[in-house]
Amino acid sequence: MADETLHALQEKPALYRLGEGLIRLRFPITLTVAILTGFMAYQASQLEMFTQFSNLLPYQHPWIQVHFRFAEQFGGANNVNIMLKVKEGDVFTRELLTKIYDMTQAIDRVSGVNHDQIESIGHRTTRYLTVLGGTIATPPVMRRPPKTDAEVAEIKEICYNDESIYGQLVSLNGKALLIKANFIEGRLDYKEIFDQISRTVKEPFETENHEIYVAGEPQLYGWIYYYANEVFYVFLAATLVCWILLYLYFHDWRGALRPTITGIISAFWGLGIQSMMGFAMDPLALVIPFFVTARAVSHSVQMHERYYEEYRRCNWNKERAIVSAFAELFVPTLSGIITDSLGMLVIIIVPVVILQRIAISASIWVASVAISELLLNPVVYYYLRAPDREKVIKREEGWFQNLIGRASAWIVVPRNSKMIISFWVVAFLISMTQVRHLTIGDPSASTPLLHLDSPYNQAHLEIQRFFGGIEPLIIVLEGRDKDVLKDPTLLRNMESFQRYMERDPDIGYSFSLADIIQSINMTFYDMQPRWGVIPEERQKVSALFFFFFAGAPPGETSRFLDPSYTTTRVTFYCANHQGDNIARIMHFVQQYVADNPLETADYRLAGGLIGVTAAANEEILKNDILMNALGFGTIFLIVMFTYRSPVASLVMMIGLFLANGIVNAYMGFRNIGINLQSLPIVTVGVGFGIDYALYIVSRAVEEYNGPTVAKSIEEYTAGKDLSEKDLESYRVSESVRMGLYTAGKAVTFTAATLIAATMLWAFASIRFCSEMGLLLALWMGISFFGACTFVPAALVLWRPKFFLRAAKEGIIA
Amino acid sequence: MDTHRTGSARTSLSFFALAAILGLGLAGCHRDYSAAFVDKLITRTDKFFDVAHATGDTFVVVGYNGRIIRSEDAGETWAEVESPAEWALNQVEFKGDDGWAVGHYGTVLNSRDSGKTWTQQVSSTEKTLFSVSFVDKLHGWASGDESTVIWTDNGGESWNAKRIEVSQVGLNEDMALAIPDIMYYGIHFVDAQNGWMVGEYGNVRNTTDGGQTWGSQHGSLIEGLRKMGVVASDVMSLAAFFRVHFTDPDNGFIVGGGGAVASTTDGGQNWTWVSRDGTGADVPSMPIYDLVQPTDDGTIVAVGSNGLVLNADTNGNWTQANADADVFTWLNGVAIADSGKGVMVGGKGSILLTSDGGKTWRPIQDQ
Repeated sequence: MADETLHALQEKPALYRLGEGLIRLRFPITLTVAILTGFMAYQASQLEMFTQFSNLLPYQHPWIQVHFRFAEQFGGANNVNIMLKVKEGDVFTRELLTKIYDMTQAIDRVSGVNHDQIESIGHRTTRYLTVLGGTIATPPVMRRPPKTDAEVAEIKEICYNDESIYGQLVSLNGKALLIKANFIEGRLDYKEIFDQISRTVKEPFETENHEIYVAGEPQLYGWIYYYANEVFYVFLAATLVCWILLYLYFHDWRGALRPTITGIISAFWGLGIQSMMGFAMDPLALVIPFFVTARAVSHSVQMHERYYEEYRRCNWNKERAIVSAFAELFVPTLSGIITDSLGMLVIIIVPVVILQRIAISASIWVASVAISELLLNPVVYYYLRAPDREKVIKREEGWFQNLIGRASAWIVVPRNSKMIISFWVVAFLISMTQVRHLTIGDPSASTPLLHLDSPYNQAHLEIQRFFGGIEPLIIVLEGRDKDVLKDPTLLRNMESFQRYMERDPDIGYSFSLADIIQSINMTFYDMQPRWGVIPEERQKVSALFFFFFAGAPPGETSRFLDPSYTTTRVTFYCANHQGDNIARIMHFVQQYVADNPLETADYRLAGGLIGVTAAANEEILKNDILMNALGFGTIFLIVMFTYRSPVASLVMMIGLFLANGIVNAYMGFRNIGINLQSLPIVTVGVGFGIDYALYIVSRAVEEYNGPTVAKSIEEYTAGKDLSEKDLESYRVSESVRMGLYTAGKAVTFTAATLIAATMLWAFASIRFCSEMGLLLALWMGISFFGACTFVPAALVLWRPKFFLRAAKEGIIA
Repeated sequence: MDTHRTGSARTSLSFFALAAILGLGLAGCHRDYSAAFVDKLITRTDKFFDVAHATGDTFVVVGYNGRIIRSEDAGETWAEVESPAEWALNQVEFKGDDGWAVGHYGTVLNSRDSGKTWTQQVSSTEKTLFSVSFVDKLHGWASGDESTVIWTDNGGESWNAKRIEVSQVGLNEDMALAIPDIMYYGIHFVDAQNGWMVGEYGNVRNTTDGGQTWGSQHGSLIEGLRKMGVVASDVMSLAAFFRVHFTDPDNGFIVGGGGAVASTTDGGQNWTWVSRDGTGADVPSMPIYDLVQPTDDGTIVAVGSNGLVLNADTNGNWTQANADADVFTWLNGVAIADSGKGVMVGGKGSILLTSDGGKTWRPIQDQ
């Protein structure tokens, strides 16, 4: 036994010395870590949870810059749509009009609402055109709730005659009214908006015959906050599952709770740094901490497992076992943590604030696992009572260990290895054919963040049903000079733009100055529909606009046209924001703009929810490949440096490629799009796979010269005359078998535990969390199988040079 | 050993290739979108301004942007007709297979084949023309903006234009200056000599010499207002009239803004208010844009804003018809053939059909 330890000491003397040094300095280390962690814990407690809408936007994208420039004037992307629907009769009754008026007043009082950007027949800014005293006037549709049936009839006549009301705020069938409220971007308190709308706009007005539906981005986030508490319970349940499984595995509570220390310390550091940087927690990003913690747990299970093993090997000498476990696992743990951390950091290349923040905080979080696993680890074990000897011995004979033993032996048989390799190649090729179904952006009409039968999605679909399209795409028309918008050719160009785009089935309807001028013209001339045309001559346009602007306050006209007649907008109301549809709609927009060049003005893309989502999707598409390349590239380089061989990277990464392919295929199959929310989570997955392979390979390398392999070779060669080559190939397969038997066991356990815990997310009300949970479970499962079957099979069959060299010279020279 | 090395190098190359394919698979998601557009013949942005019956079951609809659509099965199915018009067409009229459509910017179109093909005629005006009336294949008149009247005696081979002087009836000097030009929204001739024209400020003009001279007929309407107790009883208190229709030189109707309906039995010497501002009959105070007399028995179908459809029986009782369709937008044209089949058109691409002479209406199928 003494010889073995000596051997090990010669192999990694520096790491052994480091381990011993850490134990010697245990007091200052513990104190320092405790103080820093305490500080971080305080910082973490200051962390707030909110979503700032502009942080979700790719700020460098030209469309987003247009959005930022014009959002205040023409309306942003934060719209709440409230529909009041009658089951029986139509909406033109005194009771219902009073109701819409009161609801509109209530929404006007919700904090953060843009008071000039509320559209509702009950709002002062929703005006209709009429002729009063020989000139155009634009009085509000309702100044107060109607008191007589005659007033109701009058409102009805107005609503059905006005192009900007009928079909937009009053449904075509006269059974529903819509309130559109725009919220000022900036730090919106979605939870508060949600609560206020429920309390003051929805609940007091809902009756048997009058149904109220609320949709729109702020409401969606409100629902997500509403469900966010549930995430805590899922987290708790997952933790409990982990504890129970860890207990069953290690047979004592020290083993079960020891990974929790790492999880908690790294969580404090991760959240603390996030808070110190002034970042907030996005409720949708709540799954990420869970998975980062899972990574931390995964590393500490490896460490603990090794500690048990070393404890027995070192003849129940606790300190020696600690140092030995520490030194032997130092390289795979460190390279695992570095790949994880850098793998998260690559998200930073997407110029979206929230993703960059997630990238920074998550990579620091993962990196902080090193504090507890490497710096603190020997110290913790030093203070922790050593495991019972009987339990350690008993574990070696359990069914789990037996199973692993048999599986390991099966895998390293060359015939089986060949089968495994061919299986993976076929699986890989099949998954490749599925990848193209992947969509960038949202794959369904309703929001994929919540379940289809959630109240939000039901409301969304119901409003779409009555109003066709409610999600705006704003294209700005910016003149190169003042007064250019009096030019009828520009108005006609906008109109033909609208007619062109409306041919797309997902454009519900559109609205522009061209519609307004027609309404003004018709109203000015006796309400005769035949006057509802764009005037042929500039001076007529000019005169009509003059009358129009004379009749309404500037705050209420500027959302259509600025007083210098320079900028206006065309708004397309889209039926949904499915990724494919947005891409197609933007394609047509760009095509129209390119085919219809203007001499005096330019179309500027793009604002509104559809415009900003289109920009985000474009940015993701643009960066997705680069990010994958960078993510895989980083792992590739780190493994390559560790083993001084690109082949090492490839062998260990094949499982990752495969998992990537299959996960993409699954996303295509389950209709999960790659969007701002799913992108970081998919990236977290990349790192999982490599850890498993790193642990198994480094253990196999270690076993190559180890006593167990030597003993088994001795038995195998007894009485035989084997060639050098045959001997080596037996040696490789034996060391791989041992790697699987030991590190593979811990990997199998970790993967099983984490998959079980991750599956709990399937019960989350936030569909996004449940989908992501399943996705990551799938990811972990596939990369686990890759690491435990493909990697050993490849080592056994090909005996790559990097492996032999690492075995003979040590992993890092 | 060496063979192993080349083997693994080859394997690594193939891994690279697979990875590259994976990357390309993700990148190469370019699609052909051209098939996505759905071109529907009739959409909610269509504005149809008028409909006319040609022959048999053929109806022709004109509207915004110079659009013409045509049906040969009494409105069940429609087809686009190539239109030479650049601007909106306001009204269409047929005499057998010969038809004329007038519109903005002096547009006049002519068809000789019941609306299958159309050619542009030289109207000699750039004013907007709102209404056209032909008594046979040769003699026709059209009225429009700024007191414009044009006429032809050769089926539109050539048109003559004229500006009609403002009628001074009921106007003081100041007002006469304030209203230099009248828009004539409706014109109707019963024969080559007798015709009527209606427009802004309650203008009702008539001619007995084929449009050479025009008299004023709205004196009796202002008188009628006084009897009804309207204090400011001058032309300024008269709404615009949109349509005039005579069955013979004696009997006619006019309709217009504010639910205005007036009738005459003496060729317009005396007009009587049937309804005005929601009084006098079951007619709401809403603009009425068009009317037809489908048969000779004197019943009337009229259409207006907010999906308004009116029926009048032979005794002159006006009632709101219940169009069995959710049409709330304006209806601007109606035409009913002798067979009792008819079409009415309006905003938001509305087209409704009747087969009982206008008593009941139903919307067309989506197309």
